[in-house]
Amino acid sequence: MFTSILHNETQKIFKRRLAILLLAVTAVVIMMTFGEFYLSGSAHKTWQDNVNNKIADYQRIVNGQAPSEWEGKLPTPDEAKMQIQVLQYHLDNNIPINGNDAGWFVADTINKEMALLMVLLIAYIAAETLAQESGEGTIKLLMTTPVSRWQVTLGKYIGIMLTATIVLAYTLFLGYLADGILYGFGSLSQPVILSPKIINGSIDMTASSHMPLWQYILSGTLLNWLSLACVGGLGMLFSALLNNSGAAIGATLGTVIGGQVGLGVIKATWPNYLFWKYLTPASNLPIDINIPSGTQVSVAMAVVVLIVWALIFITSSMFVFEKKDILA
Amino acid sequence: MNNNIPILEARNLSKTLGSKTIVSNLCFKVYPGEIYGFLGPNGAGKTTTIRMLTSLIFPTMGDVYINAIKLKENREGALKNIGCIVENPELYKYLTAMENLKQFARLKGQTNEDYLYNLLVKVGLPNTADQKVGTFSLGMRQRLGLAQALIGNPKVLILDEPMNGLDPQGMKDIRDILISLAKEDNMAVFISSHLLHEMQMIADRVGIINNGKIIAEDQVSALLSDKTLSLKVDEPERTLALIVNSFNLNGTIKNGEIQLELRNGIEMADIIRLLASRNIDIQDIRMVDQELEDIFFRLVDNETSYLDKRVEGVR
Ligand SMILES: Nc1ncnc2c1ncn2[C@@H]1O[C@H](COP(=O)(O)OP(=O)(O)O)[C@@H](O)[C@H]1O
Ligand SMILES: [Mg+2]
Repeated sequence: MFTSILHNETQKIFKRRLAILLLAVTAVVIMMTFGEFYLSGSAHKTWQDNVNNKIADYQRIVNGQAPSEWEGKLPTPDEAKMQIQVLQYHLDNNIPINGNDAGWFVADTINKEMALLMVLLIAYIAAETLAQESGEGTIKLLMTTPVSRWQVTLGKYIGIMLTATIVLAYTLFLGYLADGILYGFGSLSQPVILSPKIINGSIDMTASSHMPLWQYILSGTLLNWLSLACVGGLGMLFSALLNNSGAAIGATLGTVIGGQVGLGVIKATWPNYLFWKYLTPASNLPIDINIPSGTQVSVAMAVVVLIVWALIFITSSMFVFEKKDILA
Repeated sequence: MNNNIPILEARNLSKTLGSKTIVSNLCFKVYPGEIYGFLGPNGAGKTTTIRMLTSLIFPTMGDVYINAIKLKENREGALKNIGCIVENPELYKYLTAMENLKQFARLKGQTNEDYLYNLLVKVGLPNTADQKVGTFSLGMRQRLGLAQALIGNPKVLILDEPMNGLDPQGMKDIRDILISLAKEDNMAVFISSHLLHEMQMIADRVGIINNGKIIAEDQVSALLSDKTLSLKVDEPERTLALIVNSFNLNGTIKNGEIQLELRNGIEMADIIRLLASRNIDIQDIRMVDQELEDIFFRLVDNETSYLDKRVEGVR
């Protein structure tokens, strides 16, 4: 019987929302690849240009000349020295870091910069589901069929996560293709050095933790999928609580964005246990050559926190909807 | 199936929303093969009751039994026996008629496409299987809603004002379908309406609900036994007094016209003879169709006596 519910719920959300979601991410990806390519003219920076710029930045920290607008937690001069060695190692051995080719575009731009857009899109469609059926009155016929309410709630949630998975996979594929056409596909097995070990002034690859680029990409995508599972659950909860999809969408997006803005200014550690901290978790993956690097939160922590909150949200939405008077 | 055992029963059903009691202490039984009309003006509590019968909302007090299964204790088991429309038949506009039927058919464990197509034909929607429901008129959606309710051949049909939005031919079609389901397939049909004449044409029994309470339950014919005569004369007050004194009838004056309730075998002809013998000019005289409101006013006035007359489970 649950397979029937799943069949129904996926049919509804696919028919209703899949095309528009794919269209939206297509537009964004095309803008970020072809749009940027033609706007920036011939001045395409190579990864070596970027790395050289970063080395120059770190050098200013070593020399005590860091500009005052670099707020946050700056690396110490010693850390900066080490970063310079790491970056130099990449240059010397021709190991790209944040390169232009397709693999790096996916690992960096799609997984890190586009993650928040995905979060908002999935929060939106999750907030719609039950509330939209209430608003349009279809919930009345649906809930008089001989199936239990919690199964319908769960079926809707799984439908949303299937949609999220398809959109995520499609975005990766499209981004890889578009960037590859413009800048080349590069190699997906090139190494990504996560935590370099420096021995006698050079990086010891056997002691450093590293993984091939494709694995780095997949880890980021999986992490992002967990944050979608979390906001999807949050959206379902508001959807179960409210009878109007506009209200549910507003409450969900307000919570997601408001929480992130609000927590950004808090310096305590307790926000580390809240899901907002990990809404774009792929950004927490190491290999961040940006200055300042800020406090890195561990990936394991992100995984645990996101899973726990997703479970809390989805069980509470099932509970809320199970007991609710349907007065739509 | 034993036709003397109720297939749908409400026991002391009550619902309070906020501080407002919307339905209180409702009791009724519906038997297989019977069409039970649930009659009441707008806002009487018909939809609220139907929401409780179909487990969309939970009673503040009381119980619903479907096929002798207590809804509260075995929700899915009880719901297996019903098909329903609650208020307007809101279906998925972005799906076709057939896709909509399949949505419900899957959940009722009945997915044979030929079977569903025959249901479409039965409710008068052939050749619409692949049409998006968003393009349907209200009447077509009522028909599709009925097809949806019929999936799996339920023992009880619960329909909330299913004639809304239908043209006269549509009403007749639906009426014929419902009568055949009850009489030939022994289905119990619980149908709500605010239109008396509609119930007159279809229901075996009606329960009349007003302000959340059942104020009468009987055969339609029994409820309609009184006839009303409308009479227009020059001096209505004096004429009314004359008639009341001569025949011991009840009457009122509404919009300058006398409204008389005919009883005890007194006919229109008797009134005409009386007025002619007194040389009173009759400008207009006719029998009036009783409106539900008229029956209500009378019932509400005599609420207690009607409830006394009512016998539980009279067939
Ligand atoms: N969600 C609600 N909250 C409070 N009162 C309601 C709600 N829904 C309906 N009512 C009230 O309950 C009464 C009965 O409504 P309803 O059952 O829809 O009547 P009917 O179907 O007979 O027209 C009405 O007075 C209506 O205003
Ligand atoms: Mg109603």
